[in-house]
Amino acid sequence: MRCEDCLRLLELYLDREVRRDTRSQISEHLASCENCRARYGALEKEAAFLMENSPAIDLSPAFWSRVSQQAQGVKNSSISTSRVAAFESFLRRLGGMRIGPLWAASIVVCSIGLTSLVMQLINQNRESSSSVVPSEVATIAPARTPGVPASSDASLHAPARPSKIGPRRITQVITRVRATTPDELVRDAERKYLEAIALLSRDANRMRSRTDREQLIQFDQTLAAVDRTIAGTRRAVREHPRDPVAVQYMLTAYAKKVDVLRQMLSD
Amino acid sequence: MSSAPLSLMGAIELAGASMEESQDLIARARGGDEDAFRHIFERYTLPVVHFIYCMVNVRSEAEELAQETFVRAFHGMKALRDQSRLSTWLFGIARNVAHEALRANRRNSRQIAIDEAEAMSDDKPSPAGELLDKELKSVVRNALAMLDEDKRAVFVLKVYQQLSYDEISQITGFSIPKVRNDLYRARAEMRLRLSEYLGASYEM
Repeated sequence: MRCEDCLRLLELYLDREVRRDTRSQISEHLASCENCRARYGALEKEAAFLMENSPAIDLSPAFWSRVSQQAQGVKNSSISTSRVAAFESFLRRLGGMRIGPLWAASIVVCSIGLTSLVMQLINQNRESSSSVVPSEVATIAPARTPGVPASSDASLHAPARPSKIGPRRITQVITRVRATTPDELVRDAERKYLEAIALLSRDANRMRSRTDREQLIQFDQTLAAVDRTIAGTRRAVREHPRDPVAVQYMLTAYAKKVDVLRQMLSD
Repeated sequence: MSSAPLSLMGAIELAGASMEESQDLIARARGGDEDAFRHIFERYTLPVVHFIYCMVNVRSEAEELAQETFVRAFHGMKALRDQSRLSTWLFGIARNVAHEALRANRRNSRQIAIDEAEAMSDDKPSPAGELLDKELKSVVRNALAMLDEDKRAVFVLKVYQQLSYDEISQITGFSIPKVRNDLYRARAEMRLRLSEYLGASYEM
């Protein structure tokens, strides 16, 4: 076999996708040709490098219970279809709307108050359509954990007690962000929430070993429900980037997650 | 998670289950038995999540879409004709789910530019080596994201899931020559983008 034929087939050889007789011809050639052997060695190293540095992702322990919930949800979806459709058509109508920075800033400020209504509606709906989701999702009101002072000076960047960060605090931080474009503002708001969530999650993870098992399961299910909402609202924002309702909706979902985490830490 | 490859087989072989037991499980899953369904498909959880993550490159979305994949599979079991190809069937669904999500994302000109991997990760202090690993993983992830969707699917199914061209062709619906061609080009592009990490002698 000539070198150029060998090199042409080298990747197929690596993938074991050549016929048996061709395979043995290539093997023979590799045994005798240093240059082609080096190329083959490089291909093997490349495959090992890619495998070693394959994108890593963790799996939530609640993965299958969520699949199960959703599988049930599909069966019951007829209950909520009309409401979802109404919401979607509302989004579409607003889709073409252009908003300026000031308008966007006021939207973010108002987001939590306005959307808690929507969230309650949706939570009620979810509660009625799935018995697996614990009722806490619907009953946790934003930023009302007893004993946590609303005027706490905890900073987002150097928190001694991250559990003191409440949505109200975060809203303050968000509103202080100098708004240039609506997109940037939303991104900033989202980043702040993600920072807070990361801090709270870390604390919550530390507390896991000390938490009662049954409570932990319930907590995980609640978080799972909130995570689903976040993912859903993020998708809506991506599809309707200039839609204030979608943005509000997403930010409230983040606030909800902050709340759930705070709830866990305060228990 | 270790993203170890899962070598998929054409026919299902359930651990510790005889052929009859497997048939029974499938029959029960088709009848809507969630436990049976989970028993059959649980071992594909990580491979499916990993595949979707490689496709959409958004951590929080990957798990959600993987869940959607399994929900669709659960409801699609009844209509499944060829039971001998469960794994390729499942990955076909995963690919469709990822494709729909990517199309929806594309419709929007603006992507939310947050690297959630950074924002959401548990930022415990890590030794230098670990940090480097993380960087390399994100370099590979970003290189993958730059491949076009077809090439990315073929590349991930081959390099990470280690499937045969035939299986990839079944999952994607591409012809074998297209699979071969896309894979060749994807490898060349990845090699180019990762050249500084791979060292010399890779230009082919």
